[in-house]
Amino acid sequence: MCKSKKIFTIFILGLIFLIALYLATFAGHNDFGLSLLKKSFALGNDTESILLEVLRFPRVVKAVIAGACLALSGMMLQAVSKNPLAEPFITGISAGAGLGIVLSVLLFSGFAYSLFGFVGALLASLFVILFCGIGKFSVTKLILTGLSVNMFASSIISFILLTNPDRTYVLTYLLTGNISENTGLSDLTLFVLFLVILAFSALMMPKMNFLRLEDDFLPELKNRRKVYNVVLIVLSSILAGMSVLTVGILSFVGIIAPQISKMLVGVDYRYAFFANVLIGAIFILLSDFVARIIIYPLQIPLGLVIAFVGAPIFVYFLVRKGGLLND
Amino acid sequence: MKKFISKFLISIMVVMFAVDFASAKTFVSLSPALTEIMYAISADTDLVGVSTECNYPAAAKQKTKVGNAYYLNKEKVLELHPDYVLLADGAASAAQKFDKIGAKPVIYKMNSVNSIYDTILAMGQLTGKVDNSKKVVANLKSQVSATKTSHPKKILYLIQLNPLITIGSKSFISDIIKTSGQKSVTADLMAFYPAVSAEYILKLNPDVIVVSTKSDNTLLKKLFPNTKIIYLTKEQNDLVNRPATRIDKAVKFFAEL
Amino acid sequence: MISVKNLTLAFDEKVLYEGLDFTAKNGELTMITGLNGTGKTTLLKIISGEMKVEGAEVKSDCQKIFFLPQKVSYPVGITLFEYILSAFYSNCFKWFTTKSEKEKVLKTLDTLELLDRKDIFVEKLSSGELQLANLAVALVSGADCLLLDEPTSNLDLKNQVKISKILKNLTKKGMTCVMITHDLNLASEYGDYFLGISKNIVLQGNRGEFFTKENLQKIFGLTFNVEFENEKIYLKIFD
Repeated sequence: MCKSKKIFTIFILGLIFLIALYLATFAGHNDFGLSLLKKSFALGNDTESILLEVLRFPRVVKAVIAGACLALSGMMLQAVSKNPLAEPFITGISAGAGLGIVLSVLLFSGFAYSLFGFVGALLASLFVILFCGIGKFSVTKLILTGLSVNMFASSIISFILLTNPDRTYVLTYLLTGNISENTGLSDLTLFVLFLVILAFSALMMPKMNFLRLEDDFLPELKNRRKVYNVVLIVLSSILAGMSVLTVGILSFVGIIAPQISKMLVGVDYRYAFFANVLIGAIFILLSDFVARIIIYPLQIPLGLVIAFVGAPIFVYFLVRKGGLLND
Repeated sequence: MKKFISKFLISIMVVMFAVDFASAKTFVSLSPALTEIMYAISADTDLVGVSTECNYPAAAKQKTKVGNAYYLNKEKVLELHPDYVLLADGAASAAQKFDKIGAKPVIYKMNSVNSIYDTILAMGQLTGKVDNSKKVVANLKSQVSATKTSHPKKILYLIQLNPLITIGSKSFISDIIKTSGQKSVTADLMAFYPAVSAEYILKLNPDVIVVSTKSDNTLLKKLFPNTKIIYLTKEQNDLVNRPATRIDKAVKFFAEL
Repeated sequence: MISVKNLTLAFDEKVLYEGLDFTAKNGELTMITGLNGTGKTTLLKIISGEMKVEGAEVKSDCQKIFFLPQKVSYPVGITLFEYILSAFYSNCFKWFTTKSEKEKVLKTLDTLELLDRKDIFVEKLSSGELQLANLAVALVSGADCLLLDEPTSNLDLKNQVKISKILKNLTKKGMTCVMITHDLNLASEYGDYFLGISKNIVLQGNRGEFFTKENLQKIFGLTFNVEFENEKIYLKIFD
């Protein structure tokens, strides 16, 4: 695939991203949002301004952050583990996030549940990574430990769900994944944090290109490679943590976006970086738009829409020629 | 002596009758509302077990606990050997749990003020306290009809803030608000307790917002900077959320908003 | 040049080496052969410095060692050219490769006669081409010592000869090269120095010293017919 074709692909993705951004911000369940677009240049105190300022803008920012983070996180883990089915939550993220959210609902009636989920996610992945050790690091160990931690935590979550029937509905809803209305951090802080992590990720892209080569090739670099792997896994955990902070536990995007990006621009990670950020953001923006309008005024959890749209896409990638099953 | 013997015999008969009656009909209630009704119609002596959520009246807390409809201690129920298990229709799916225990599940529907009256009367029939139940219902009816506001306000009732869960047309709370003369802005949603989007409630433009479970309310304050928001206390919550014999007070609460 | 001195290695009761001294010289293609499970790959890992053994002394004057394992995993979805170019992305701040680096890759591909395949996806290359691609990675990464674990094992005869010839040429230019092979014909034709590893003995020597009936009998437990003719060796199993 030649360079100009890849750049063109990313340009097209950028255009789709802008359309998705417009739809998610301005379009409603029965209009295309032209009046809202005009309104956004002169915000006042009326309902429409509050709608934009308090609801739509923060929602879109979070959708973009979550999509980009999930896709990048998935891409890194798939590259490190050399397993196309690896997903961002593999390092115990979903377990930790789930426990954090449950804890917040049980003890503080849902106060800052996103922040609890975020901290829980980071603690769980920290535990898993430290347990695997940096010196004797191996990806298999990481996946199996992460799996065990996830299972252990989900058994606790199920127990809590069963023993607190009055909270079951709320907990199920929160655990399904949805754009968080209040993350405990201001949207600006969140966005700056996102940019910083994005910059760090960008620095790892050349390294990821290098890591495409067999691990054993240069024995003198072998220990350094392990360190890079750990750095990438830590980075992907932080990225996944960011996604938990903004949208809770969302599956699929982290698996699918890297697959689509691989199909579109291959595994040159310098291009895949942009492709993943855009694809992940488009995916969540559009899903959120659909979740918002499909059975208005009822709200379906974003996680449901994503799983509903994501599962068929995922199966398509599994069975298509040159797809996952033919790797 | 003769007198003593006759007294003795009578008392034995009374005791036997009582024991016989009790062994004929005993109940386990898995719904706090139904427990309240049992107490209100003075059938509480026949109530041998209650759910962990039953906290009103205070005496209910002393009864044997059997878990709840979702997480039931079947062995405990077997031990108590009740004739009937009382269930609210929300937990109707739990009925099959009693198939082999020998207790007959009775499911009561309580999705409107009238159906609550019907439930109270039906329970009077079941427990043999027909007069009591009729008295309770009559009393409730007179109390309720006496309290009706003449200046209806638009009320938004929120059960949860994260996520936003409100009440739909199928919820009895909608009917209570309607009975109180107020207007529930979400009454046309065809559901029990729908999760709705923030955009939707923003457009409803309510006069008063009643929040059942208070949690992180940052967003709500941003959305409705000038609207009166009331957070229910634990006692008020039990009062409003329970389709039982205190609905007169619930109606009064909404009428006075 | 890499030399190993006084190497003693045993796993539990299984003794692999006892006091082995061995030198892989510059300009010589060293061939290691022997039975399965006698520690040939282990020896390569000790030479590469990846595995440290107490008491043994490993000396090396090589700048950069390249190790080609038996099993290599390849990325999916990049071309041969990009695959080899991967070797240049080792710095976090270097998002782009320079023109000279690209030219170096092209030149290397040219010497390996792979230039016309440069835009083919890695997963579509034959195993012979993949092995050449790995050699190309070794060359562009500036390695001056190649340690190859059965580089010819899955290849057809033509590719076996091709790889062996390329390695021979590289050693002539001064590279240190050690490879493991099971093909005695190939080894005797292209190798300069030989190491035969059996269950408890290690035999070594140059072509004339190594390829004798007795040595081969000791290593493989098989009878061979060995004939010398015009500096060439003809081996035949004589069972």
